[in-house]
Amino acid sequence: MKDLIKQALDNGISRRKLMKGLGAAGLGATAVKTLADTLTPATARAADAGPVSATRTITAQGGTLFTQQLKDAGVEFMFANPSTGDGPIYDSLVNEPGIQLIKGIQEGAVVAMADGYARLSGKTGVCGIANVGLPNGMTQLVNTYKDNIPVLMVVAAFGTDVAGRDYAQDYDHQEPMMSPITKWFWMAESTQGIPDVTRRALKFAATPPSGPVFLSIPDNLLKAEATAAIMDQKRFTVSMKVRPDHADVMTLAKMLIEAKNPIMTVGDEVTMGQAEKDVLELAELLGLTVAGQGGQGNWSKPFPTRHPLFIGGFQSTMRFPGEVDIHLNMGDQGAERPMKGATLISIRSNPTGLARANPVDLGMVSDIRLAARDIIDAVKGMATKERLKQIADDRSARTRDYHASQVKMREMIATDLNSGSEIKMERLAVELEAGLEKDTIYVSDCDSGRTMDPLLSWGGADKTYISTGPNILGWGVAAATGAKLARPNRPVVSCVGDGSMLFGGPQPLWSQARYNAPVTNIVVNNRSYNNERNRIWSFIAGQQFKTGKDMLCYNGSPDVDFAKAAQAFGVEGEVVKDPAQLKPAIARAKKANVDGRPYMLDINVARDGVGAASTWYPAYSIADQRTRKV
Amino acid sequence: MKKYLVAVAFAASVLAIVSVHAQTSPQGPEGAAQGQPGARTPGQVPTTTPAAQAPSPAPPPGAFQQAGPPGALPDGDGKEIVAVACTQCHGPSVFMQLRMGEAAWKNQVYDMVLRGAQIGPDEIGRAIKYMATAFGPGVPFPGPQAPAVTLADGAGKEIVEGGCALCHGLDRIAVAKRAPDQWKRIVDRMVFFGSPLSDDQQKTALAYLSAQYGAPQTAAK
Ligand SMILES: Cc1ncc(C[n+]2csc(CCOP(=O)(O)OP(=O)(O)O)c2C)c(N)n1
Ligand SMILES: [Mg+2]
Repeated sequence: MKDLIKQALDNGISRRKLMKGLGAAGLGATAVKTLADTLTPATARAADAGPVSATRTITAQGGTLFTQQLKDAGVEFMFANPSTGDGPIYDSLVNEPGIQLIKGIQEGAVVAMADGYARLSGKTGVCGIANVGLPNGMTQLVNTYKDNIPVLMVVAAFGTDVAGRDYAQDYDHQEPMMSPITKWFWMAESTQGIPDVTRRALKFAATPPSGPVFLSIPDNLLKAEATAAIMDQKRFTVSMKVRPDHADVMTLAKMLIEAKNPIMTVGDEVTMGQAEKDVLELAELLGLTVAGQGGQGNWSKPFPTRHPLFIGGFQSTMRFPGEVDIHLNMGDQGAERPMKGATLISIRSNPTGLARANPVDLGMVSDIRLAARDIIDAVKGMATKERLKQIADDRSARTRDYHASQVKMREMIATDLNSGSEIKMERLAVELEAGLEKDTIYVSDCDSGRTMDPLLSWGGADKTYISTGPNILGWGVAAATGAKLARPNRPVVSCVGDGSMLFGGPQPLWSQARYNAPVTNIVVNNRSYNNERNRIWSFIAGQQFKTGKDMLCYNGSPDVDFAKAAQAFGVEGEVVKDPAQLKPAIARAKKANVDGRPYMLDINVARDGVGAASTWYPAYSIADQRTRKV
Repeated sequence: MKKYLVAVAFAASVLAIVSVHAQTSPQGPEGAAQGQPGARTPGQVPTTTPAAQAPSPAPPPGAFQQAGPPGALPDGDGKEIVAVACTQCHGPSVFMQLRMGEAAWKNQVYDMVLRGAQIGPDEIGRAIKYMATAFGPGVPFPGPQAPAVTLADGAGKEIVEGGCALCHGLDRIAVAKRAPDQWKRIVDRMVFFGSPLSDDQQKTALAYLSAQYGAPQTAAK
């Protein structure tokens, strides 16, 4: 009996098993119940009592309890890389066709695949990695956290029976290190409680403002068996579709009608709230000039960039539209900045982001789509159709002219920079705009390569753009794999710098090859941390700039051939050096995708900027140091 | 005596970088002086808005900012475009210390437009010309002197001095030994930036640099 009690305290064995054991040890029914009540964790007792949310009760290993809760919550894919301790999780999927495993061969890739899947599906990306590989995955989880993407990361932790004894691979308390980059983190406390803690993790991840959560489950709990309730996840899903205050909406509608030179900024919360169409309707109804969504922490482009009301990125001072009187910010953290002389109204679905960095004149917490709808209705209720049309026409005339001049400007640049024997990024952008399907999902993980973005069309009926706000590199190829999984019927292209490609490594290509993910991967290969060098040399302008010695940013010598690397990982590809070869190479990539295969285009582009001509680096030969040739 | 003109190479992308940083840098800290507006009744917006009074948000600690006062732009046709369009993301001191010819300035201004500079097709030509005139090779830079460096004697020394010191100190040449293919790339680029060397002079300069400041040629990259 002593053993049984110890087991209950250490491992949290199921209440049923405990009671059975105590009975078998000769205790009477009342004594059994009293003792069991004392020894069973409260959560387990609650579950045992059969929570009202239970859909079914099963007796199984902890690993199975975890995956069955995932399954009932609608999880279809799990991105994973194994350890010994999490064996029961994957054992449970041997006969479970409802959850498809997608293996990644480095934890960063596993996390970024889950992240890309979540961005495109709107569902929570679930990933499991080894506890010792956790720091590998953390880098990419920073992108996930900063961009509010719902991801559940699970690890099998050191068993509660042995943790803390400093055995090999045991490091104390890994959970708190996830604190700054997760919405919530937890360690499961009993086998029986696994479904409950899992459904809580899923709820926290998905509830807006969404984000990554971390769950560690001690390996002995995963292995132990318990009877537990699997819960109906829907009953824990709470709507965060908060409506804005009616009086505020009325005030705002009046301001927007009376404004002389209003601007609307748009950001990721429009994408997250699926408010693209509504925000567009609001802009058109009132002839609002629209800016934002590029850079400054945004990872998506929800407003069609080729729409005549769109003028590009936002700055606090803008030559066009000049002096703004009303600035309406719809879900753009980066654009929530005061413009001189303007009243700033910021509508944000993320309450912690609202007025966090800068003061606002009117802050409204609301679902972005509902806010747009309410404003539209209020505006329509305050002015006749004719008057609104007049207002929109008057206001938008200037913006349309400005937009048209930008189009002309871009054409001029594209034509002008289209010459020469080297491939310039602008030329590549023009070829991509011409060659990619209109419904392509374009996954960008570039630094200097972002100058290509304005030369392509995004949003609305055009291509979908996704990137990361914080630009933590090594995300793109894996994220594109996850994106293709979420949207198999749309073309998916990843576009990454050579530096970015090397941060992520070729490992995501392995997953593309194994799972036949027809993705076109483009490496914008300038053999350099091009923009990083530019920033170091100009912002710091220290000894590297003064001496012309590029200490760390030159990536040549050895020159990486990404097509060969891809081939080694099961993805065919080619190196493109000649501008004239771009078009046929893109066509070959598309053909491979049509045939169901991924493809790699290693595009050798010109370095640009300060120190671009230099291939110098601080050379050193270890071989030369030897006094013994071994 | 040579004036230390800030390196032409500096020019090539400093604006691009500033702009990138401006796009990715975090927002300034909270406008502490204004404090929180008092409790607000829904539907009411403060009439004296903090935004209207607030100075531009200060950069967070550690953020890159072009140091020093903005300084006045020299007069010239196109100044009014540059004065406004090129200071929305960064101060003018970023480009005032650069020296480049027209072709290089054109690339630079194009790059800026792709990063969001609000310049139209009808005015871009004037903006480029203004930059190439006000900040072209040979325009004196009122900064610190370059460390005095005497280049090694050899055929082509004067050509190198004339072609390079127009925009930067000769210390930059003497500091590193480079393989011939690297010198070739650098000379080509400097000519693009505005170094006025003829084809023959470029060849002579290249031979001089490879002989005096050369490193063994490594495998072609
Ligand atoms: C994981 C990670 N490590 C380091 C950095 C810092 N960093 C920013 S840009 C950059 C170089 C990027 O090189 P590349 O992807 O080739 O882009 P390029 O500017 O050459 O187009 C580095 C190292 C980062 N953003 N993310
Ligand atoms: Mg690069």
